[in-house]
Amino acid sequence: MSESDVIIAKDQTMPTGQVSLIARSAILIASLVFVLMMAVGLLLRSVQGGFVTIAPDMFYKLMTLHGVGMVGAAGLAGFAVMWYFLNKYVALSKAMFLAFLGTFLIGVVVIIGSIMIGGFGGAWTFLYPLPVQSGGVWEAQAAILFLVGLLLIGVAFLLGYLDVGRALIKEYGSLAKSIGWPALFGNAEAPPPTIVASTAVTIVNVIGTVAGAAIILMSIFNAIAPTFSVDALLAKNLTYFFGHVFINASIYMTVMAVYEIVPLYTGRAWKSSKIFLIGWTITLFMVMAVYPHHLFQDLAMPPWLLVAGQIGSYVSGIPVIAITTLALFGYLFKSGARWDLSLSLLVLGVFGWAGGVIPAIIDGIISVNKVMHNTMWVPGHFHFYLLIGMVSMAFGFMVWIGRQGTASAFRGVEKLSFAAYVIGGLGLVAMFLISGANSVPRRWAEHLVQWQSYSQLATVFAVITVLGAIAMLFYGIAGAAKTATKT
Amino acid sequence: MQQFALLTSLILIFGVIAGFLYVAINTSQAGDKAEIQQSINTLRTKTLWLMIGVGVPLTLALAYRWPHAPEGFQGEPITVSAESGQWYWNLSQFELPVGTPIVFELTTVDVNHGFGVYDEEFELVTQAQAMPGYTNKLNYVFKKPGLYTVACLEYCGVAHHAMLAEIDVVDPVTYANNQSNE
Amino acid sequence: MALARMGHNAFLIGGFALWLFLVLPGTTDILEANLPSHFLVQLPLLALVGWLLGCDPRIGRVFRTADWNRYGITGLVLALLALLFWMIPRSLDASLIDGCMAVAKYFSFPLLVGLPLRLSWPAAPFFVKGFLQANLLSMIVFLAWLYHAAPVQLCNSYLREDQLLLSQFLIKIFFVLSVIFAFKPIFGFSPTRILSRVSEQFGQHLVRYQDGHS
Repeated sequence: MSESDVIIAKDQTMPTGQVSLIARSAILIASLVFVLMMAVGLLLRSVQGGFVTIAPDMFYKLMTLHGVGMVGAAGLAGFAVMWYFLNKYVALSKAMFLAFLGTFLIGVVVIIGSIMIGGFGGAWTFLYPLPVQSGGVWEAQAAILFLVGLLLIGVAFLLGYLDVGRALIKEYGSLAKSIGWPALFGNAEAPPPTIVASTAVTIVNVIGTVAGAAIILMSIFNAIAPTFSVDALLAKNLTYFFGHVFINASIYMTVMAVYEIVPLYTGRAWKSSKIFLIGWTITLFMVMAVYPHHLFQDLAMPPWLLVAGQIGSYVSGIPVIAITTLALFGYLFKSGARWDLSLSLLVLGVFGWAGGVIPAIIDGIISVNKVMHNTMWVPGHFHFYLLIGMVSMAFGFMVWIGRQGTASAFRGVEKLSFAAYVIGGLGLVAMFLISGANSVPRRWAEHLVQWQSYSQLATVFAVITVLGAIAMLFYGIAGAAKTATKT
Repeated sequence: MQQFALLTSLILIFGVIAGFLYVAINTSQAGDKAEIQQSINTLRTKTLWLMIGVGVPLTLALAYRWPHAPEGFQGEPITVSAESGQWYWNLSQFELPVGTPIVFELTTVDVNHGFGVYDEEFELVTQAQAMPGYTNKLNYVFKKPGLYTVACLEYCGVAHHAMLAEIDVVDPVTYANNQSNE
Repeated sequence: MALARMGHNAFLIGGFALWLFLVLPGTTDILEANLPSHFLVQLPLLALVGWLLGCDPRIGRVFRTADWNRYGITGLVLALLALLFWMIPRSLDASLIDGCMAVAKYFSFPLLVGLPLRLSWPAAPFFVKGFLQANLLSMIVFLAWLYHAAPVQLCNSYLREDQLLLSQFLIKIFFVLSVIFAFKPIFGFSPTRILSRVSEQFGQHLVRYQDGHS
């Protein structure tokens, strides 16, 4: 053991055995999907850059695959992180997790079938009525198959969250208690951060699933009986409510890895302070209230909802920056923690989240949105807090869980891979944002010649990102293999 | 607007980067836990008050003047119907006068489309959604003459990127002459 | 003594009395006169008949055998299938025209929906209950849309205005049920406990008041 080696912190309270095995398998599956979908994203950018030529229908199919694959994998990764750490505090059912994972994977197979065999290319947002009115490109059956696949994934998550809810209620008495209201409004002892965040996630995602299932059922029925039409504005509201809640919840779940792992490095426990509790209670309501910021250009929306969306958009960013980020700063600063791959990825993740919030808030101003909506600015901001934010945290968890308790230095090759991921990711995001500021639309299979140079640079950064991500996946698999041979 | 948004975002993002780098550089050293906690609490209080005290009034102020009502939108507007479908724009007129309030009545015969207006330099100047069953009224005043492009900004299927139309924006006198000649 | 025996049989007596009341020609005429009352009053009350019968422990003893209704799954599936059948507008319509279908409705709602629900619900695990509640909520929104969006008259016996009215009622029911379902998980006690608390306090207050005056 050389001097630069550090023992990856291990805590006796961390779940081991089957719980660890299940969580490791799930995070590896999710990370594999991340890497595969990144490769698809790279292909999309290279097509936009004019390096590669594919037919537009194939482009949009791959775009749909990239979107739905990433959102699904984000949900799975987040759920795996939350489930693993919740096992420290409450009794969760392993059978229910397997039921969740099984149903989820069946849904994934159905969706891949609907895209690659059925030719569905209606984007992951399945915005009514595009799935059933493709202009003759794919059949209604393909759309139905896609929607059924989504429904299965919804059922999977509902089962998972219900088990989490049950366990939280059993341990703490009620969700009001596990989110820390008695501590917030009184003098009761606050539950641990993971419990508080899990409660918020469980509540919003069960509600989100109900809304999502409703619009999916309507869309399926409409695909079978087209004379039953859905109000397009209602469909947009339900779809974006569900989508916004789901993807944000995936970040909230993944950040629990930061709450739980960073203290092992710093020796400073992540505390459920009053401000922490306030932050999560605000987030609980805000994440459900701000979705109208996706509908700023739908002039049929009631203006007060749009204004509420703008204010909510801003307010939602406050806890991320003023509470989560500053708390992390306080825990890290002069803590004597030794940097390694896992800690670096986790801190990078919080940076990505905080950084991504900024262009999100800017685009959440209606007057800016007027000329930024549906430009590359939008994928710019969400790749910031998903690629550099959420995925980094998921990778950090994956690397940590495979190595906990073992000696590991931050080796040169790891530093290089990490740097590749950071530089590639930041460059990719910068190209998205700059393209957006220059009015380049999102979701275009072919770009005007004057726009291609952005995509060409982005392609280069995407290659670097994918290489970095492959390295992370390799470290994750290597760690899992090592742990497997040890036990 | 776009460049201002980009610049603001970049400045703030660099602020966040600087914060992370400063903390990262100081992580490996040892320090007094209580003291650090104290200064972080102070910083957090200041940040919270700054974000609430300055940010919330600012966002309110930015919504106070209704963003969907453009400046200089006075007088009798010209109404232009813009029907969309997979994958075309059908405008009631493709020539419009500069400096005159225009109301685009956006409709669609099939799926959601996005009515995005690009100027000659291909900068996006305004947009709104066209959605099934609704007529969305987009108000706009063209500030300079030239050949504008209408492009679809809501994904609508395989030829989404090819759903383009052109609007010739001319001075009001030319516009009036051309109208009376028709 | 007679009163006590009646109390003992209260659920059976209440159930059968309600059943009888609901199938009286006058009652059926009123409740089936329009779609919302048919859908939202008659059907739930018919199910309530079965629920009341199921509250009698003797009925419970006859039916609740661990062999066939473990975790309440069998009973819930039975109730769901029966419910699904009657949610098809055509079935409901047929019950107004076809005497056999009418009889089927009057018997199946108490015996195949209400009773199995009462016998199975308490035994069902948390996730089954939660899953059914969440699905019910989605389904109510879906049905509200279905009756609203229907371009045609779905039932021969009811007009389109009736369908729209039903749709509006369903949306209101959705919100009320959401609050009811969410209440206990969030606050840790059932909303009915507030009522019993209030009445208890009121009772104590009354006793104190009487004590003070006697």
